[in-house]
Amino acid sequence: MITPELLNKIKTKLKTNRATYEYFFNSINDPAWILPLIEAGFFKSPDEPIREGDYISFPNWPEIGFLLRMADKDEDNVIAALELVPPTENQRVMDDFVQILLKISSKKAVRFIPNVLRFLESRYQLRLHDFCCDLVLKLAKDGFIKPSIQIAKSLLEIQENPKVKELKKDELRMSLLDPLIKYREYEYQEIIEKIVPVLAEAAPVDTIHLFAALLEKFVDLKLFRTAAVKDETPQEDYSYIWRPNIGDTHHNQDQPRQGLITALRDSLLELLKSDLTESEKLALLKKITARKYKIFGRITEYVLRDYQNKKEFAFFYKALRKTVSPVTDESQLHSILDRSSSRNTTLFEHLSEMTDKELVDEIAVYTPDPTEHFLRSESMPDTVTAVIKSDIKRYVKLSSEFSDLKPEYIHSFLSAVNEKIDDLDENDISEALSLGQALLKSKDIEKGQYYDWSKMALVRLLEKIAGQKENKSECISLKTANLALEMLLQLSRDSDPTPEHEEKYGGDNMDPATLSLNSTRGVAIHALIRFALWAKRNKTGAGFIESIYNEFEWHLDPTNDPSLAVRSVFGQELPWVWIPNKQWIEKNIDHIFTDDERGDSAWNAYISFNQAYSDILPILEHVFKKKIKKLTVPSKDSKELKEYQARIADHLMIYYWNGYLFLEKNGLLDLFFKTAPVKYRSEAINYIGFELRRIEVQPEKDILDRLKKLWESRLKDVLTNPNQGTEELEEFGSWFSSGAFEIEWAIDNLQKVLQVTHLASPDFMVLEKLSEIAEEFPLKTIQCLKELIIGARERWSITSWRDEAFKIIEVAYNSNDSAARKLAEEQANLLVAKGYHNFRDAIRK
Amino acid sequence: MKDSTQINPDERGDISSFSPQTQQLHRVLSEKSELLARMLHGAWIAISNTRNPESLVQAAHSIRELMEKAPIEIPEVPVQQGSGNLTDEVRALQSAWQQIKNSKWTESPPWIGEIDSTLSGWLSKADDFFNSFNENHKTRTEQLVDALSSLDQAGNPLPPALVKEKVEEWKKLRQYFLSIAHHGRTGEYDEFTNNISDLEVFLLNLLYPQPIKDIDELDALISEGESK
Repeated sequence: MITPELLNKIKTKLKTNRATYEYFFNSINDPAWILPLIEAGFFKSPDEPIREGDYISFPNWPEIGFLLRMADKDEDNVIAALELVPPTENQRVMDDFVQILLKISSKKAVRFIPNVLRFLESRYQLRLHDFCCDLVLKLAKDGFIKPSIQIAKSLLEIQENPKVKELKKDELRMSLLDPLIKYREYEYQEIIEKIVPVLAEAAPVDTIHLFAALLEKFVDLKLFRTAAVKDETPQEDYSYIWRPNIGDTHHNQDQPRQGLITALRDSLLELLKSDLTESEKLALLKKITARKYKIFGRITEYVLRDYQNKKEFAFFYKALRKTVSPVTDESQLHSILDRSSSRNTTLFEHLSEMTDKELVDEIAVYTPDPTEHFLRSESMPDTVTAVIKSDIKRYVKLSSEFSDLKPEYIHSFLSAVNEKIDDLDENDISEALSLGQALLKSKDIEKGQYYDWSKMALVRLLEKIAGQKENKSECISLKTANLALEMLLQLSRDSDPTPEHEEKYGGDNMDPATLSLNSTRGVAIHALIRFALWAKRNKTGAGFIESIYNEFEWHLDPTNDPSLAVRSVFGQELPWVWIPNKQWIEKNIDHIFTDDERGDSAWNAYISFNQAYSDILPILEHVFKKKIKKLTVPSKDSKELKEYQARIADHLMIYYWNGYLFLEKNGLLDLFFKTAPVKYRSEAINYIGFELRRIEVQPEKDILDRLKKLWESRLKDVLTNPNQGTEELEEFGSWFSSGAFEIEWAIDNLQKVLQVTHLASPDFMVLEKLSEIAEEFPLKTIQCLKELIIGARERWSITSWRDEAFKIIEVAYNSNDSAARKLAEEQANLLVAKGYHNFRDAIRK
Repeated sequence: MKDSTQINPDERGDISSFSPQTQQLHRVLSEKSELLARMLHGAWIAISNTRNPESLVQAAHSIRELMEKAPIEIPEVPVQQGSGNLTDEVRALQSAWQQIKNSKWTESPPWIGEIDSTLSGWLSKADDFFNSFNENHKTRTEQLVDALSSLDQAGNPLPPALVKEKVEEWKKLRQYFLSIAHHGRTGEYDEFTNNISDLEVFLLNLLYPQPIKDIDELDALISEGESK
């Protein structure tokens, strides 16, 4: 029995905190509560959305949740309560509201249609469209057509894309901007598919008008025409292109427009099957045909095909067919599309069947058809590459004939040779290189984009032949190598990349190392490094290597070569420049990693492309020192800089792990941990944690001892000087969860960390490990959990480890340790207060 | 709910001589702020000295201080940022207004000209000022609502109607202790200790929630309500 005294007692409880309030409304299950709760002032204050920074969340409102559960038990009182709910921005309240309407009778639900229409105007929507869709169906089935159509209209509303206003008049014609819909395209399509069959059957005329209006508005906005302009005759909408076949059913693209056409078509088909008189049907069909665009006539023509012999429709159909026949003839369109796909095959076969001479002559006189671009997916040069690749041994002999062709075909030839290098012997390669020589010597050749591409194809081919074939044999001997080197030394002085090119394509668009792979001089330096390695493998005389390193030295002088991209190659390839000539690197290391942007580009390339090689650490130690001192916290935009700097931390940790670096005073690690921003110190600790979790074999004792020393040392340092930032300690969570250390030592150190940070990363893994050892260490694990609960600011973080937390509390509560039991009880209460009601069960015997 | 016990004058001063509820709150306050814990302790010492004719007045002073300082001393409660010196802000606005007046208000007021860019700029400044004022100079009640909400572990406040009732409860208690402290009314020992007990429950619910016990009790109340 619900008395005022009882309700007062309950209200006192509800006021204590949110958890009890939520629990109450989630637990009551009797409609008799509704009226007393109304009288006590409930159902008037929905929880509002919670905004944090850029995020918004929509809490469940327990009061409406209760009404939803009661909706089919006491319709009238639920409605009385619903009347009290004020407008809200909380989407979950709107969802529950509409779900209640789905449970009560349509007759009573219709009074809330204005509320529903207001909800549908909301900016954020969760599942509202699903529930509203169901409401459309329910109302239509129960004969409440007008409200049903009102909701459908709002769901499917189409609006002008605001970006259209930013376009100039002449840009409009080429614009692909679509009008806006309220939902994602697939959701919009789902709504249409769900409601059309029911609506069209219940109210075909209204449904037809609804979809015709929506389609017309969509086409209006798509073609940027105003609704007010209306000609006598239907306007061209090019629908014969975007919807050649009205009968199509599946449309994966262009969803809203296609879906609306299908909806209108199906509604019209339903109309023709309906009980309306033939003259009523004809009148409606005429009305639809008379709408603004040709698509309407085409749809009507399609739906009447099966009825064309019916005397009421025959005359109208014949007239209609005349108007729309040119665009319903799809064969013409298909023949265009077929032609385009077949021509490529024909070209390849056509060229393949030619004699060598015929082929060269054909390419020489070939002039592209202006329409080719639209009809073909591949160009003539691409087809020539494919033809040469198809029989490389035969076509490689044509190198001298290709030297007279346009540069795009030289590019085709050299690219084909590059791809098929394994199939060629040294003579073939030498033959191909003669085309390269001709390219570099030619004075008459047409300069421009294709010429540059041809040079790039040549330099890539040269890089390739310095390597080994798949069967590990060398591609070339010294004779060809000398020829290649001569060409490379010429290409390494190419103008590409020019400072203007780097300015335009470098910077935020492309980092120098990537740019080096897309510029002639950059690839030439890469290729020269490959040749230096080739020379070392093949033990050529010192002169060959010397000429390469002399060239390198020339490029290190910024007055000769100011390019960041070229300098980055020396960083990226440092170990491979070092192997053939160690003294040169020792002598030039400071010329590579200079204190300017070129030096930075080399260092960034070194640190991101290379592992922490122990061999070159002694040469690099002073560079590391310099770079550690320069570590800064980059701005949000400098994602790349952040990554380069983080890699320094990774390298240092690899050296430490492997015993090449130690924690001695004034050493690299000492400097790093004393001066690096906390972000990078965290990265270092995290890197080792990641490795500990990744490796499958337990690290050796000396490694673990080193790591323990680091953990203890960092803890001591940070505790002595917390101002330097404590976040790095959080990363020891991954060390703990790896299970690599003796468990008691690990949990003791984790506790020390948590007392400072209240956080350990990744928290769910730490909790998993803690729950595993809870039986053995009930007090220590519950103490750790306490700290982690303090640190868990975000609700979802607790959700991700609630099961582990439950086990730790349960174990501690049932242990013989009174301190553990007390702490378990406190933590269970705290978690219940946070809304995790099931933690009540963790402290029940 | 009322858990205060009679004080044994012989043991006055020792926190363990007070009620379990007082001890619990003292422990919780100590974790948050030694100052608040001392105020509570001091209030009870004053009450326990029955020979002191001003004991309740002195205790009320301590309690009033505790209620004043609690939102500042408890780390979880957000502190109002403020946005600089209000006088300076008003003066800046006034100076801009004076310039407009001097340039536009050449004839006798009221000025009925159009809102041009200068005036529109000032109106926009005024709007910013009032928005910032509302945000940074909240009323005592608004601050209290914020404090209560921030202490709810659920991270989502109670419905406004329930929060309002809590605020009223707090205000009523504050008013009571204020009136005793300022000799506005004479304090009766039982009434006084009951009010302190209510305050202790209020603070414990906030700072040391025991929802499991509350929910167990709610279960019983729900069963009672749903029994036919």
